[in-house]
Order: sequence, then structure tokens, then C-alpha cells
Amino acid sequence: MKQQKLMEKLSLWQLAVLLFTFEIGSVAVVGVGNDLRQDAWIAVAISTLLGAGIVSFYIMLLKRAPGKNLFELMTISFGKWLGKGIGLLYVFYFFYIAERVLRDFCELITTVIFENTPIEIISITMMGVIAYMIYLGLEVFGRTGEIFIPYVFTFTILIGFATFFSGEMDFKNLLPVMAEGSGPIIQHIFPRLLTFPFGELITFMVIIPYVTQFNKAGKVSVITVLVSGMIIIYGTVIEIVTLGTEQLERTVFPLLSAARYISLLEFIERVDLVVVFIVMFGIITKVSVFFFAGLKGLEHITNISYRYMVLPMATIISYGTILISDNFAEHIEEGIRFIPHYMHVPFQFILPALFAPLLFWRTKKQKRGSDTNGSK
Amino acid sequence: MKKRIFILICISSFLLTGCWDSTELNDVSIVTGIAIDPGKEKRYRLTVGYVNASILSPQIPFEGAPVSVMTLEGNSLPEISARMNIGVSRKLVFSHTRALYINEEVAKNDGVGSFLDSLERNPQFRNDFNILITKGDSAEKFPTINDPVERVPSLKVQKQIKSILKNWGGDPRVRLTDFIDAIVSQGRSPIASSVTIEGNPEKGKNVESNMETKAPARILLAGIAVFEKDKLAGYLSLEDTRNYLWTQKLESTMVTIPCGKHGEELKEKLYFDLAIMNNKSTIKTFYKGDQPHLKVDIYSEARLTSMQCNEDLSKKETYLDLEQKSSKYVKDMIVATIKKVQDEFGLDIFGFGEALHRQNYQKAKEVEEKWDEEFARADVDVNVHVAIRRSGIRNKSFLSEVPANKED
Repeated sequence: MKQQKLMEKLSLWQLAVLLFTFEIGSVAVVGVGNDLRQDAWIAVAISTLLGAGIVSFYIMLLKRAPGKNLFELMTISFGKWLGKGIGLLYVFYFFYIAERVLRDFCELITTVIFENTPIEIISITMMGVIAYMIYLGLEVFGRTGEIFIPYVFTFTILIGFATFFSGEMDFKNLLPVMAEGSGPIIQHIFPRLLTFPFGELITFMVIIPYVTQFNKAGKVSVITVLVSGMIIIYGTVIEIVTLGTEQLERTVFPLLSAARYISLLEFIERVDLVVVFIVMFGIITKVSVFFFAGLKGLEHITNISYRYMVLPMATIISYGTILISDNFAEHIEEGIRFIPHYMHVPFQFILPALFAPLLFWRTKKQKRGSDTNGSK
Repeated sequence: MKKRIFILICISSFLLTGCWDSTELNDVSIVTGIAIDPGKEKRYRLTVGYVNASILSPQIPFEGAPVSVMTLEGNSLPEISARMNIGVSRKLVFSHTRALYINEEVAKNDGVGSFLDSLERNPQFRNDFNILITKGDSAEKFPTINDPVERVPSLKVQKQIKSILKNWGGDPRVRLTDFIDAIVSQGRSPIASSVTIEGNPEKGKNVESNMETKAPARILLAGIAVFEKDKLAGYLSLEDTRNYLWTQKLESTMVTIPCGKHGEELKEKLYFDLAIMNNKSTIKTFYKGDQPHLKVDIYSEARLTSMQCNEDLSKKETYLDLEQKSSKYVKDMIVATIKKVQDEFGLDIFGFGEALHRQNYQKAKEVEEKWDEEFARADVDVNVHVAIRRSGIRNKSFLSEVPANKED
């Protein structure tokens, strides 16, 4: 066995692709801001801008020590033991969210397509694919994204046009705008919309250091977040105008329900599987990113190459996916009540905000000591 | 290497079968029509009509019934449909359901809410079937009425509805989700289409009725069924259905308008016909002080299709005159329908409340609870502009050229 640490590289385009699919993945399954009814898109628009801010904050942290990922940054700022301890918390967090994301997808599949298939089979097969991809490395992951992105992107755009030309859209559903004032929107943005899907980009603090042109990564990430935000707005508007606000509140998988309305020329019908395709790829990306981030954390803590841990951890995740909640209502309620407040906010904002000053202080000292890093 | 690939293929062949959800086409029967009647012992009496696929094959002309029907009683639809196999050989598949017939008794006494939930929840059901309230005969007879052209009864009904929507507008265009949205909404009352059987349903059941040129039984559309929440409140005629549709989204229709000035009695009853093509309608609801106002603006384009009046169609003035007459006529028609709904039901089937909700949210919140009363006492104002564009391939009617035979 080769024990050397492979240096894997991701191109800027691959980074953009992964970011994009990561953002739209879960959103395509469960939708965002459904409680806000016709104002959901406004909330998404605002949180996209804030999301871009969050990403530039993460990038700023990464720029203090180029080539170091989230876990290494924490060791730098908190010292060896505390850094690794907090790193372990992050590992748990990442794996848990990976399980949740996978569960979203499994619920979709078992509800809509494979009604009789045990949910375990779906989680195991999905995790098998993901584990294989991650085992082959980040480059393979990036290239997979490159292959699928044209389809995902065109299908997403086409769904909107197809529902429009099916005559199922009623733009009156967008009215009245901000009827209840801005209060509910702000409440919804913080913490729910800000953390999901934008704050979750903290996982990319593990991936961005491996990008070849690191100095451009920041710009690319911010632009990608804005673009994906626009796609999310697009999807949300499709959902609102097709389903109407009443139905939107009741539906479990909004984009899928919207796509079921498509009926063109009495020939293109029942294309909801296209949504499943988009969702599937989005989920694969999302779970992979969380999975990879968690594995990298383990690698940093144990000093063993993450490839040895792919299979055992994949097993745990595919099992945990089933274990985390007994039923769908519990799963969703956890996602709304518990996760944003007690998991997303601390891990996405509080901890980074805590170690940021430390990081600045440590790297400042380091930079003064050895000027080899060359601050640009 | 080859060995490894071989082993991989072997393993994946176990993983990728998906045997849990595989169903062979030979093992399923496709349901096209569902009928719900009040049960005698249990809550509902469900009748499903499923297609006899082999008879529809053009290659093998096979004598027999195009659909088969099975009736069963039970307390909920999923339970009954799962139990259907006590008499049906194959698994029933509901994804191609075309018509849902609901007995008016069920709709009136029991409400439709409790079984619509199971339809909306089930991913098998698409949103493309028609909800039909059956008047007169019990619902279970409807999936059995044979038709020589379409063969499958429920397909016939669906096609019939599609055609009339396109040509005249006698169906409110309500699908399952629209219906449920209207039940939930406080600014709109739900409606559905209603159907009756003309003729003798016992004879219509027989496939041999397809041999007759005049069908012994036929399913007819019978206008709108108005609901209060999920309970049937009453019916509107086909004319009213068309007028209702005019305020919403009408594709095209045909109106016959008397030649004389409005209200003026003519000696002979003479009419001209307009084929209405493009329609644009906007609904506005507003308050003047405390009095609610309902305003409908309608703009329609028309083509003249028949002319019994003695007027010169080559002149512009005639067009203007006819436009005025027809605008007035259509306006009165629509106002009458709205007034009728206000007086008879006091239920806002037009969605004026939703319009208020969009246009003046604060006010809508205030009157939300008692909207139906507000609707009933509201002033109605309908503006219609009919623009007659052309008159077919003749200008003057030959009738005006006929040598005067009367007192002209």
C-alpha cells in the first residue's frame, strides 16, 4: 500500500459545479421557505445575498493560511488538542447532516417511486455509489460533477418552461407581496434559510483548499452562490405559481408536485422523474461533500489516510440514515425546530466566529516570523 | 481483472433488480372510472371500471365488454380498492383514472372531503381526472354506459369534457387540486361538474347497445355543482356554467343574440350568432366605505357566424351597433349569473374573495371569516366589450337581398 499522501486538485470549474449542485440538491427535494407562502422567493433572494457574504467570510478565513483546510485551521487557532476535539465535533456534525440529506432523498424515493422497496436498500445503494466515488478521490468527484451538470442545469431550466407552456402557471399566486410585512421573512431567514442551504457551505472549507487556483476560488465561490441562489429563486417561483400557496403548504415535495403538472402536446407527460434525476444528483453531491468533509476531519485527527475509513463510515452513514428518525414527520420537525438552532448556528457561525480572531492573531505572528507564504 | 469484473457484474445483478416494485403489465388492470355511492352497511360503496385491454387492440377484433366493473362496500377508498381483488383477478392501477363519479347523496350528506384526502395523498393519482357529481341515477351506473366511438366510458366522458371546454365551455375546469384549494381557501367556494344519464342506463350497460345508431343511454354534462366547504349546496345550469367560465378563463363559446334592442319585443324572433374566440377577464374586488363591490372586466373577440337580422354587414356602423348589442347582452347574462349565485347560494364560487386577498390584504383579513355574507350583499359591476372582427366569407346576408315579401 502506498502510504504517500496524494495531493488532489480540483479545477475552478469543478468547484463551481460542486457548489452549484450542492446548493440546489436538497432544495429541490423539500423546497425552502414554504411557510412563507408567496413571499418565499423574497426570503431566498435576501438570504442568497447574505449567503454570498457568509461564503466570503469562510474564504477570508481560508486565505489566512493557504492550503490548510477547516480542521487544520482549527488546530492552528486552538492548538493541537482543543483543535482536534472541536474538529471531532465537526466530524460528527458533518456525518449527521450527511445522514439527514440522504434521508430526505430516501423518503422521496420510497414515497413516490419505490413504494414497496425497503428504505435500507436505497440508502445502502446510494451510499455505495458515494463511497466508491469518494474512495477514488476528490478529482473523480469533481469530474463526475462536470459530466452531470449540463443535464441538471438544463432540466432545471426546462421544468420551468414546460410548466409554463402547459398553462399551469398562475402568476397571480405571487400576490400579495409581503402582506404580513417583513417580520415573518426575517424570522424565517434567520436561522433557517441562512443555515440551509447557504450556511452549510462551511463544508467547502474542507474542499476549497484543494483548488488549483486558490486565489481565484473566492471569487468563483461567491459568483456560484449567487447563480445557484437565482436558480433556487427560479425553482421557488415555479413552485409558488404552479401549486398556489394553499397547496404549497400541504405538499411534501414541492418541485416534484409542480413537475407533475407538466403536460405538453399530449406527448410530454409525467416527467416528474426528471425532478428525481436532478434531486438524485444534487443529493449525491451533497452527501459526498459532507461525507468527504467528515472523512478529512477524521484523517486530520487520526493521521490515517481517509481512504481506509471510507467503507466503515459509509456503512455507519447508510445505517444512521434509517436510525435518525422513526418517521417522516419526526425527520422534518427535527429539521425545522432542532437542527438550525442547536447544530447549524453553532457550527456554521459561532465556532468560526470564535476561532477567526485567534486565527488572525496566530497567522499574523506566523507571517511576521516567516514571510515565505508571501501575502499577496 | 476479467475475473474481478465478472464478480462485480454478478454482485450488481443482485443489487440492481429492484424486484420489490416490479409489476408486470399482465398483472395489472388499469382503472379508468371510479364511482362513489353511499354504502348500505358501510360508509361508501365504491365501483371501479377497469379496462379490458385486449378489446382495445386494433389487430384482434374481440367481442366483449371494453370495461369491467366491480362494486364493493367499505369505510375508506384505499381499503376498498385494496380489497377489490376478492373479485378482480389483477392488481388495480389508479394512475390513469379519468373520471371520478360522486353520487350527489354522498356529496350532500357526507361531504367529499374525507375521500378526497386519500386521492390527493396517493402519488398514484394524477391531477388530470374529472370530478363529476352524478344527478339522478346512482354513480355506479356511470362507468358502465357504453359508447360506440370511444368504447371506454370514462374516456368518453373525459374527451367530451375536453371538447366542450374548447368549443363552448360547459365544464368549470376543476381538477382535484383546484377543488381542494377552494375548500381550504376562504375567498372561493369549490365547484365541480355534474353529469346525468339520458336514456335507459340498463340498456346502456349492454355492449350490444354499441350496435345501435342512436345510443339508448348517454352521459350528459349538466352544469356546475356548487359546494359549501365539502358539501353539495346545489346546481347551476349549463348556461350559467358558461357564464361562470367567462369570468374566469373561457376558451371559446357561441352566443345567440336577439336582433332587436334589448327588451324590445320583435314580431319575428330574429337572432345573430357570435363565435367568441379570445377572452380576457379580470376580477377586482374593492370596498367603497363599507359596501363591497365586485367588478369584472371582460374583453372578448368575436366572429359573426349567422345573421338573421336585416342589416348590412358591409358597413362599419352595423358592426358597431352589433358590438354594442352583444356587449350589453353578454353583460346582462353574466350579471344575472352572478346575482343568481349571490341570491341562491351566497357562496363565492368566482374567487372574488381571493381577488380581494391579492388586492387589499388588510381588508381581506378583516372580512375573511364572513366573506360569503359579504359576497352575497356586494354590488356587481360587469364591463363587457365584445369586439366583432369579421363575418365569415360573406358580408351581406342573402336574406337582405331576398325580394321583399313582407311589409318591408
